[in-house]
Amino acid sequence: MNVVLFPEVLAKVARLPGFRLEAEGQTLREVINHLCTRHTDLRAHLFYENDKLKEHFLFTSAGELVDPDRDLQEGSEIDIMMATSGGMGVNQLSNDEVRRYVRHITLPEVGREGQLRLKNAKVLIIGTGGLGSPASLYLAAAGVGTLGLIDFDVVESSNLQRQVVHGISTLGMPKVESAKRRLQT
Amino acid sequence: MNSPDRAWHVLSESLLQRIYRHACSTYPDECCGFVFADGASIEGSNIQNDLHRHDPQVYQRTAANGYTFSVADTVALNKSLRSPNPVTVVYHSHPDVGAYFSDEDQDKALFVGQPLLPVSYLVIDVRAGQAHGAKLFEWRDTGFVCSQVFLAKPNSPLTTGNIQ
Repeated sequence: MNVVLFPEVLAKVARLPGFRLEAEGQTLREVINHLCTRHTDLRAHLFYENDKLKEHFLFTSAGELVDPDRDLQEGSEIDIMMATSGGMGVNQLSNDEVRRYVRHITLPEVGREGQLRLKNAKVLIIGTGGLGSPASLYLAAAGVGTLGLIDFDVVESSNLQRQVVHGISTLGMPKVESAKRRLQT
Repeated sequence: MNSPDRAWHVLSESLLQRIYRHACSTYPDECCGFVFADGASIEGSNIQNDLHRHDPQVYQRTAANGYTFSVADTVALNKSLRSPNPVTVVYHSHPDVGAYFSDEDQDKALFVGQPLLPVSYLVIDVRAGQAHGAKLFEWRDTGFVCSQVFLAKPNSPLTTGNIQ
């Protein structure tokens, strides 16, 4: 028999009878499944619909992560923890971005709000040839946050006189990869 | 849940200086760490870049705009909560955007609308590698509110070039 320790908040929302429950199983997955069978509210918190365990839970034993499908030592104590994380809002401009796009931002028609809309914009470019090359360069330089590129071709030397996103160093490379390298520098 | 006083009293000036130095040392990446009830602190390991490298689709943020404590830190933090000296403050930095409790901070601090941990959150304002202060956020009934603002002292040598 194994013992599973739950975070207080998880035990509360999953309506578990306590923070420390016993469960049977050879592996962590079996142990958790056993508990989910007994406490049906638990499954939706721990698993995605495809039965994959959710990433923000850490399953540890003796301070080490436990592989869900490896055999547990008999009588294991499994401590379920939730990842502690966070981060700044990405829906705003950093100081570096303000400095970089200041010429846009000072235009009354654009401003910070307009630049932020460019950052959040997504543009799909079909073809990175004579038109897609300069378009992708200008959109990236202007601060469009997400560019999608589609092209079946590879870079040839005869392309370079007009397809300015590619260069000698990417000859023979798929155009999508070549353009990606240039746009991310 | 911690009382606001408990978190506030533990944040002495010398502790804040240590936290500011930590935030400067990881700039332009976010730092993370935690403070125990007795005023001791641990500088955490931010594994956000590792997670992003491992699976950029699932972990879209890098350490430049996110933090996740390492497994060892998470174990230490959670163990402390069952001890007489629990963690009372979790801190992290915001490089170049100011100290505020972002949607991401709030989202990750809650689980089904309930606070994940019985702690307060300190967000450090780091700009151009220099700490400008910090804000403390605490859970009050329905949301996190800023309960204290700390200003780094002017001309304080809290820059990456002055870390000893």
